[in-house]
Amino acid sequence: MTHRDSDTRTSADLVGHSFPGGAIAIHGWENWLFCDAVLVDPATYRDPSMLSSLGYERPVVHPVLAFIGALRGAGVKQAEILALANFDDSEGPLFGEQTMMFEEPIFEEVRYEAAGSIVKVEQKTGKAIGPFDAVTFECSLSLSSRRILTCTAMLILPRRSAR
Amino acid sequence: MTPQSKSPGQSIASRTYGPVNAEKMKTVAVILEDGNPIHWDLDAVKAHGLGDRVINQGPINLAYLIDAVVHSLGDPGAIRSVSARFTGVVREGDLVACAGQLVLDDATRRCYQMEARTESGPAVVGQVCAEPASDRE
Repeated sequence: MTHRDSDTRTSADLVGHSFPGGAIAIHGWENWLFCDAVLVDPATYRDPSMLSSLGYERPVVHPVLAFIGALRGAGVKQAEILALANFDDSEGPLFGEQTMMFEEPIFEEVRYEAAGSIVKVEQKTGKAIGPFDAVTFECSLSLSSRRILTCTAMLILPRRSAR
Repeated sequence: MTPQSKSPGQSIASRTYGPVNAEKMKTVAVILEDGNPIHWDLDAVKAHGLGDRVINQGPINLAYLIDAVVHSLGDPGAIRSVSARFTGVVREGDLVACAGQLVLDDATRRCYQMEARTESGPAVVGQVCAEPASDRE
């Protein structure tokens, strides 16, 4: 997804841009694969006897995968956020900051409502990377309209052509 | 995995992840739908002047940091908040050491100031707060 739909879009235009929204359930196989990929034993989140001893009725989704699920459930890909800012994956975006607030764990195979929007765009200059845009978006997962997870992430988009 | 005793200032058990595997980055690229080629294409890494090893996705580095807390507490559902800054890169082959200290312990939460670092320096720093099941009973 590299389409740039508006070269005339200003940073201020992006603030408040809502993602489509939707719903998502994170499957067990996704949680297993993610844990394996981040060098964590999947049993840490999925072992039935451990979960039972702690009072959890279902396997717990890895917190970082919960963030990814919230973004996916909100109906947007990272590349689409970049495209909104007239940026491309191949230009080397970086994660700057990230927050997550959980009211309770996110569980496998539970269907959550998801939403999100762009909440802040800043133009800055860094010593190492030069001028960049910092685009912050928020996404959330809710259950029966009760907010369970709220995440924010700031993407750093170096403006290499401006250096 | 038994939760540590609660004393502000107490260090959390350090955990080391790695060597970081480039094949795992490909899996996460698909899960994250992240099309940035610096995570799998060495030519792209070199073209950006980022060295000669592919670069771990930031969320993977954050996952190491969170997992160090989860492992220490022995409770995968304990995490209640994470606030992190990505301060450096992790490359294929790196070892990532995650360590931190308990900085807040009130009636409901334990908060840890954490750092994930390689030989090159810190990659992620931040605070992770948790409410382990043992504290909820």
